[in-house]
Amino acid sequence: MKLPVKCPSCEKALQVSQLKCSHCETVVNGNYDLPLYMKLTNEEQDFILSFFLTSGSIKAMAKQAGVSYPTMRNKMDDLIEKIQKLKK
Amino acid sequence: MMNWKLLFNPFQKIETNTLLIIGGLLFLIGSFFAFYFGFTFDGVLDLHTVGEISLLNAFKQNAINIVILWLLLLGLGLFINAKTRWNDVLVSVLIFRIPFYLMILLSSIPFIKNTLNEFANSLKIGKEFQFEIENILIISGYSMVSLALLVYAIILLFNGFKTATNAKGWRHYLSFALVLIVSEVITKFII
Repeated sequence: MKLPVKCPSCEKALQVSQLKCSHCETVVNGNYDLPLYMKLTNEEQDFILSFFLTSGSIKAMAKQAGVSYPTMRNKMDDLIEKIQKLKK
Repeated sequence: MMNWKLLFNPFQKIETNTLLIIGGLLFLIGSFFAFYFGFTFDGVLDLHTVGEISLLNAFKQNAINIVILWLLLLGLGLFINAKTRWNDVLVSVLIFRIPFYLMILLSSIPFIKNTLNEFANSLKIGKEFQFEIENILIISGYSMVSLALLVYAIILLFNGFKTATNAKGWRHYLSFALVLIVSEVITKFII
């Protein structure tokens, strides 16, 4: 099941307010930010995972995805830009 | 089914080295066409019939157009994105030239060539051109296809440049258009 990261009503980033242990039913309430990685779309998370699994080779990723090197590098640059904005 | 995306933006999927080989080979073939059919590439966006041209001049003109446009676009590309690679920009320029080579072939089809010559001569000596339906159809059809090929060439160059530099937004696109115009002026002056 996909974890929602944006409010369906106002599009702002969602926060974690409750965590629950499925074993003992302990519930922790609070106000936690989602980790940066979780704020990315599934596709973007897969992209980062694929980058890691190819030992950081954009060339190998491009080959796997059947696109050219500059296309893959642009995708990477766009994602870096997005992450830098999220970090601010 | 024809893959339109590949036709208009081959840079997205096809590797740079493959496109470099295709563009390089077609540069040789296109320059030979200009020599064989008597055309001059007197500007990055120009193609005119001259009757006769030496093989060396045909190659030289085509090469000047490619090098000037490449250097200017590479300069802009590096300004937009420091990661821009020289070969990605060169490939964009080499592939951009392909529609011009097709234009040479189109203009050299005997019945089109004869009608165009007749029309050009009548303009030159002030003689009245025979505006028969057949001639009008040939000239307007030729003009439309030529214009479509020119637009296609610019689309290819734009997509290639965009892929090479990750250009975005109107400022980048406007700079691209300005560089294209400047390179046209420079090559027109040199050739």
